[in-house]
Amino acid sequence: MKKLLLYIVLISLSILVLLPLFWMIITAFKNPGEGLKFNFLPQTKVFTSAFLTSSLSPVQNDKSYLVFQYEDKTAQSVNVAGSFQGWDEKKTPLDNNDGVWTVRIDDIAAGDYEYKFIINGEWEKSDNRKITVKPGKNANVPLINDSYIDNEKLIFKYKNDKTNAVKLIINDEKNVDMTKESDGYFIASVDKDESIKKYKFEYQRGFKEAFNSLYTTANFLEVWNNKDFPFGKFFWNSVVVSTLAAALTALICTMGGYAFAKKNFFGREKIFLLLMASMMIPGMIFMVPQFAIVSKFGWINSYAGLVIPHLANVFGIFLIRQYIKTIPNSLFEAATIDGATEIQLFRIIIIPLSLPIIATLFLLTFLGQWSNFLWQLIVNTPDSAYRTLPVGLALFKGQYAVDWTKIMAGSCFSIVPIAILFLLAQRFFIEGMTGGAVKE
Amino acid sequence: MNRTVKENITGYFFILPFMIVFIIFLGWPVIYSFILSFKEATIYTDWYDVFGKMEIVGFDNYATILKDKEFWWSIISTFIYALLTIPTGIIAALLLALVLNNKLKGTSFFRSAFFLPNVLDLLVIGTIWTLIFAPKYGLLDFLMQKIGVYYFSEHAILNEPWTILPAIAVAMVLKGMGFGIILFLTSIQNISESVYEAADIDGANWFQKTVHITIPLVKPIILFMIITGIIGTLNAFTEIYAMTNDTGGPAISVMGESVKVAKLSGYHLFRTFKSGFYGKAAAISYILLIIAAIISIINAKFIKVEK
Repeated sequence: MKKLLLYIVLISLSILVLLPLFWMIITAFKNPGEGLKFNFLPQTKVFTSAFLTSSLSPVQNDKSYLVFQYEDKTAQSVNVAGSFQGWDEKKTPLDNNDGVWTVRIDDIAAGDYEYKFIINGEWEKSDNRKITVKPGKNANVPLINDSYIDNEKLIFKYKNDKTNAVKLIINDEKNVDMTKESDGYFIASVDKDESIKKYKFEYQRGFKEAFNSLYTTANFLEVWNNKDFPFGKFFWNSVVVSTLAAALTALICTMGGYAFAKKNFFGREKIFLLLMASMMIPGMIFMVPQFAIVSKFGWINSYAGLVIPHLANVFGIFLIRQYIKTIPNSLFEAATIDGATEIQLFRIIIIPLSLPIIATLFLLTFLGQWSNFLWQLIVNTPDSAYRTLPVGLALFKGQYAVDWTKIMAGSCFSIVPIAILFLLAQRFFIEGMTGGAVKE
Repeated sequence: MNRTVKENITGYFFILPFMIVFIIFLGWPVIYSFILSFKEATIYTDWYDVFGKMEIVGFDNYATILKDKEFWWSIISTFIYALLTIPTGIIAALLLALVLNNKLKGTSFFRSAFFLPNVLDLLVIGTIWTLIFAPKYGLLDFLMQKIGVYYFSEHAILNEPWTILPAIAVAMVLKGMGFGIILFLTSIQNISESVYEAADIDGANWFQKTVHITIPLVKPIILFMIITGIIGTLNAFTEIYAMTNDTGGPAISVMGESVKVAKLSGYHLFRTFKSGFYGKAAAISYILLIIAAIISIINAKFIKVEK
């Protein structure tokens, strides 16, 4: 019983921790319009719905109502603002019905009005739209899909080449089979009726088509080869920067760690203490002077500027010193007697014996540089050829703020390789990151 | 050759590459930033040599900063953020470590699952969480609507002064939790069984054992997490950048001045730097350095008392 409870806690928490990642990956595979909808299973039944805007409902003497309709399958939100409601961008949101956004505003006084749509919080760039409301009449927007009113009949037309049967659903309850015409249109006609407010066209499609309308790999290809934000290039830069930094850090920290562990040079303890003390300084504080030095060296927009300033990894030297201390001195004495030089000692004894800790430091540095956003952001100008993944992603996000499927695809390039690396070399990561703390 | 001389030469030879980088990029900056803090870039400064042609302004930078309410708010908001993240992070990690210590099957899976977000890019994690918190189409709002809570569709929690810092804190605690879990778990597993057995004989229950045995024995880990937590908070930048869309969050009025709620000290420093006030940014760095040093000294005292 107690165990069951603990399992429930653990499982729900790990879902909480991992769900964002899965959600991110799935979103990256979705078609732009589907990105933020919570359907993950392909739908074989397809609806196109709309509102009957030329409705005949009773109108008060000099008042009328307005219906606004806006078609946009990829929008996340559509609002309308206009002179009829004081240009308030939040007051009148439209409801989404499979890409057709509508809202009905009742009791509107007769007169001339101007309005604009606000899509995803952004105002339309074009001039104000105009509409005239006449007393007792309804100012309306035309029906979609070529449907029209013919005297006492409502004629519904819908064009679709991919299917043989389309059903018309009126007010979500009445089904009417539509007949196919030779010009590719499906047609149905019903008596004009004031109660008709809403209609839908429904048809079936194959699973493959349904799947393809939901999922795609296009997002990845598009960001990988994007002209302004080439994620392929960003990925390569990140790989180069992280690998170079990791290899060089591992080398100089192993050399330094060896000296601090085994060489009895003048001032060893004092220097080591100084290094340790510097670990207490938040790295952020070095940003301004480091940038000044790098710009003086002319290293802005270069691999050198990205890599070199962070090579002095004090934690790394500490990690390696602790490890090398455990190598017995007799080994060095024996090798020295055999005539090994200092360089040989380092190459033959230190490197092979401390390989696990060197690997750990390599991975940790790689990881640190892979996500070293702030430094990479300031060393690169916005159009630099050396932009890395985090920088590219931040700039991309600034440019395409609502294009979530592509933002997520770009994010995958940063997250997925590291997640795989972590799963393969978990032990190194966990021991390396936590080891220093436990030993202290 | 004399043995000590040889030891000295080889010793210095091996630390040389490290020390060169250390001195240029970590040692010299401490002094250089002090020098820069008495200068300021001018409008005549050449973009390619900004730091070469700065004007000496004396204590002006420090004077403006200490009078600047925005700076003081950045210190306060950093403090609030620390209070939101550090204790919750420690408590969450400790509780989960205690749960994982129950010799359950699949512990290693959960360990990895909780640790995984630690290694992932902070910018990406922050970006995903902005999407999760987004009203109308975010995951949080979607789930909450299912259980009949509509608060999150009406309120963009990353855009409201009272909720933005807690929201960022939730995301960051969930990301960083795994690190603490492993630390606590290792140290709990190092506690000898016999201590608990003795307590069992005395009739102690689970709660008493946790409070009187486990917590005192993991105190060093708690201290370590407080210290790294403080350094982390002073460094907090990427999460703020990602989760406020590089704005610093919604504005509030503090003592008659409009300030951005989530402009933590690190982010404030970045923005000052980005606006071209290099001297002022250097001065802020120096003040933060002093604050960090004071905190370290207090911490060191605490650790000595503990020992």
